[in-house]
Amino acid sequence: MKAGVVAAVVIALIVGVAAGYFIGAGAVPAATVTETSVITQVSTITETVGAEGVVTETVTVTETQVQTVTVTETQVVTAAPEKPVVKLGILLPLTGGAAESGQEDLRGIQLLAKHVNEGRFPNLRFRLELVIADTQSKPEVGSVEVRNLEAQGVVAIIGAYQSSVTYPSANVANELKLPFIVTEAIADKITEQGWEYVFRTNPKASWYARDVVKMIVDFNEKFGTNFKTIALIYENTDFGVSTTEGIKEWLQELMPDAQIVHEESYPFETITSMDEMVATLKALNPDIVIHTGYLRDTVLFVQTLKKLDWYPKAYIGAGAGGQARIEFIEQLGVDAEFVFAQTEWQPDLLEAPGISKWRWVAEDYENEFNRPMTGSSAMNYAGAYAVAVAIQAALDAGADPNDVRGFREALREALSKTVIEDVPLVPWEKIDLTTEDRQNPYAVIPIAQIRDGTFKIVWPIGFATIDPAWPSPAWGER
Amino acid sequence: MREVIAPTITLVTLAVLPFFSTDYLTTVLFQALLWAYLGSSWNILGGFTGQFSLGHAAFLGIGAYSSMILLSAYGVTPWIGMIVGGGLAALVGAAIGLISMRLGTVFFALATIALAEMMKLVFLYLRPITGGPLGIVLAGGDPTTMVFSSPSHYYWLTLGLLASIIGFSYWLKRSKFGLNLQAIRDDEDAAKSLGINPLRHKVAASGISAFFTAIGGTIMAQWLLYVRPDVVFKIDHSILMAVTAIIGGPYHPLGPLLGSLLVVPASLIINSLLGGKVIGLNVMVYGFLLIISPVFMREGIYPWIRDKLVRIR
Repeated sequence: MKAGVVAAVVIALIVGVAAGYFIGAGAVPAATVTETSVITQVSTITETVGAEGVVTETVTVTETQVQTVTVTETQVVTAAPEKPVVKLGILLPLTGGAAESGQEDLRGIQLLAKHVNEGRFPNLRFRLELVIADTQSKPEVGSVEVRNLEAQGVVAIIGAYQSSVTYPSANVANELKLPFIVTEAIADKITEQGWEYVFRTNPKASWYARDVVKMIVDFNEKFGTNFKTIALIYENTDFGVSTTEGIKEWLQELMPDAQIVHEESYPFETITSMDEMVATLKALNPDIVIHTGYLRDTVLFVQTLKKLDWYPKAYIGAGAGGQARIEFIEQLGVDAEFVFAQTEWQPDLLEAPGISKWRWVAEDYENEFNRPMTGSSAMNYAGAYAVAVAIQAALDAGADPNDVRGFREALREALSKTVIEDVPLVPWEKIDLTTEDRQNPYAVIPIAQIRDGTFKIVWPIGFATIDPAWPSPAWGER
Repeated sequence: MREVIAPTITLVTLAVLPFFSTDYLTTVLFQALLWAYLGSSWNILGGFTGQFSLGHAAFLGIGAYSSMILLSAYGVTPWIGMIVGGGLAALVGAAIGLISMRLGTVFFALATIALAEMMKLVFLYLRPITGGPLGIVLAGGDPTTMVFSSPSHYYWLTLGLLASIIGFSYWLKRSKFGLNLQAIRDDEDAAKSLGINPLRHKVAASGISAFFTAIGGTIMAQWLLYVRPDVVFKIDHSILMAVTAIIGGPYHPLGPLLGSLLVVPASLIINSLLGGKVIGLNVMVYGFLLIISPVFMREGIYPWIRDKLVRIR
C-alpha cells in the first residue's frame, strides 16, 4: 500500500511542478516603465499617405473619426522614437489534418507582420509581434491554446482555419474578453452567437450559393439576357446537398422568376456514366446548369456534354469544387473552355482592377517563401491587415499596449468601427466590421471563366480581368 | 483502511489544485482528468477483462450526441441526458460484445474500430436528427444545462466522476464479478472450468465500460459546446483512452489516472511551448515520449513506481 502513497505523492509532484512553472511563466508581466527626463511631443499625421513605390492607402477607421489624427507620444529624449510593440496571437493548425492550409494561412499573416514592421504601410505606426500557437487541427487543443495565448498577453487572436476548431476557440476567447478575428473559417454559426469579441473578415458558407445566383443576376442585367431556366446537378453528400439547397433559397430571393426545370443528384464516388442525366438535360434544354461536384464527376459531366453534343448557355461550377481545380483544366484540355467556376482565389486576381496595385505583396511573398501566393495566404493577409488597422486606431485612441486588458477593450471597440475601403489581394469591395453580427458583408467568393487554359476572373464585375463569354458558344461554334 | 490513503491523497490534492492554478493550467488538467476518466472507463473492459477495444470513440460519441440532441431538440438537461446516453451506449456496447466477442480478442478489436467508423457515418447521414456534418451547436447555457463559465467547474465535475469510477474500479478489483473478469483475462479456459460464463461476463463488462465512456462524451460536448461526427467519432480518441490506461498500468484502478496525468499535460504543454516555434517539433517530442515511456516502464507507471518502492524497502 505504500506504493499507493508514493504514487499519490508523485502525482502531486508532477502536477505541482507543472503548476509552479505555468503560474510563474504564464502570468502577464506588469508594465514597469522607467522614464528619465521626458518631453511630450505632439505630432499630426494624415491617415491618407502615399509613399514612393508603395501604395496609396485610404483607410477609414470610423465614420466619426476625422482624417487628421492627433497623436500624443511620450518619448525618452536620448533614444530614437520607438514604435510601440503589439503582441498578436495566431492560432492555426500547423500539424495534423489541416496542417498544409494552416501553414498557408500563417505565411499570409507573417508577411503582413513583416510589411507592418518594415514600415511598408505608412498608416500603421507600430511593430507587430506574432505569438504563434498550433491547434494540431483539434478543437480541444485549440481551446486550450486560446488560454495559453491569453496568458502570454496577446491583444487579439487570429484563427483558426477549421470551423470545428474555430467555434470552441472563439467561444473561449469571447469569454475571456479577448478579440478573436476569423479570417478563413466559414461555418455560418460562428458569427451567429452574439459573441461581442468575435469578428469575421471572410465570406461565410451560405454565401457560396448566394454569389453564384448574384453572378447570374448581374450578367443577365449586364448583357441584356434573360436566362432563367435552370438545372441543378450535384453530388449527394453534404457538400453538394447543402450548396444546392442554398442555391435554391437564393434563387427564390434574388431571382424569383427563375424556373428550376431539373434537379438531379448522384453518388460521386461510384458514378461511371452520366449519359442519361445529360440526355434528360438536352431534352429540357435549360439556359443554365449549376453543378456542385468534385473533380472526377465534373470532368465526366463535361465529357458527356461533349459526347451528346449539347452545351447550356452557361455551365457553372458552384461551391469551389471540382471545376475550380487546375486538374479540371489539365484533364479536359480545350473542352474545359468557357466553364464558369466559383473559386476562392486565383493568381489572375493580381491583374484585376483594384488589386493589381497589390502585386508587390504577391511578389514579396514569392521572395520570402519561394512559392506563389495562394488564396488562403491572400485572405489571411487581408484579414490581418484589417486587424492591424484596428490596432492603429486603438493606439490612436490612446490605448496602452502594456495594459493588455485595457488594450483588448480598446481594440474590440476599434474593430467594431473598422471599415477598410481598399482591401489587399482579395476582390472584396470593403472589409466592414461595423455590422451587428461583426461579419464583413462585402466578402464574396469570386467566379472565374476558363479561357485559354487558365482561370480568368469574371465576377464580381468590378474585379473582372476579362469580359465573360455569356452565353457560352455551343460545341460546334468553338 | 490503508487502502483508502493513496486515492484519497490523490483526489484531495487534485481537488484543491484549481485554487492555485491559472485558467490555462486548469483547462489542461481538466483534459487530463477527462481522459483519466475515459481511460478508466476503457480499463474496465481493456484492463480488467483483457478485451482490447479500439473503438471506444463510438460510445463517447453516442454519449455526446444523446445529451446534445435531448437538450437542443427537447430541452432535456444533460444532467439527465448523460444517463440516457450512457444507457444507449451500454446497449450498443453489450450488442457489439455479444456479436464479436465469441470470435476472440483480435476480432473484437477490429469490430470495435468498425463500430466507431460506422457510427460516424450513421450520424453523418441522420442529418435531420444529428445536424449531419455540421453537427449541433449550443449557443451557451448555465449550470442547469451543464455549461459553466469557468474551467474550474468542468474540472471539479470531471474529478467527481473520476472519483466515482476509481471507487468503482477498486470495488471491481475485489468483488466476485471483478475477480471473475480478471480470471477470464488471465486464462479464459481455466475460468470456464470453474463455472464462469466468459461471454456473459465480457458482454456485461463491455456494457458497463460503454456506459461510463458515454458520460465522458457528454462532458466533452458540454465543454466544447458542440458535437460533430468528425470531432467525436475519432480513432485518436479511442487510442488515447487505451494509451492512458496502458501507459499508466492497466491492472490497477489508479493506472489510467497516472497515465493520463503524464500523457495529456505532456502533449498539451509541449504543444504550447513548442507548437508555434518549430512546426511539428511538438508532435515529435510527444511521440518520442510515448515511445520511450513503455521501454522504461513496461507494465505501466503504477507497477514501475511500486517496484521502485519495493527495492527501497
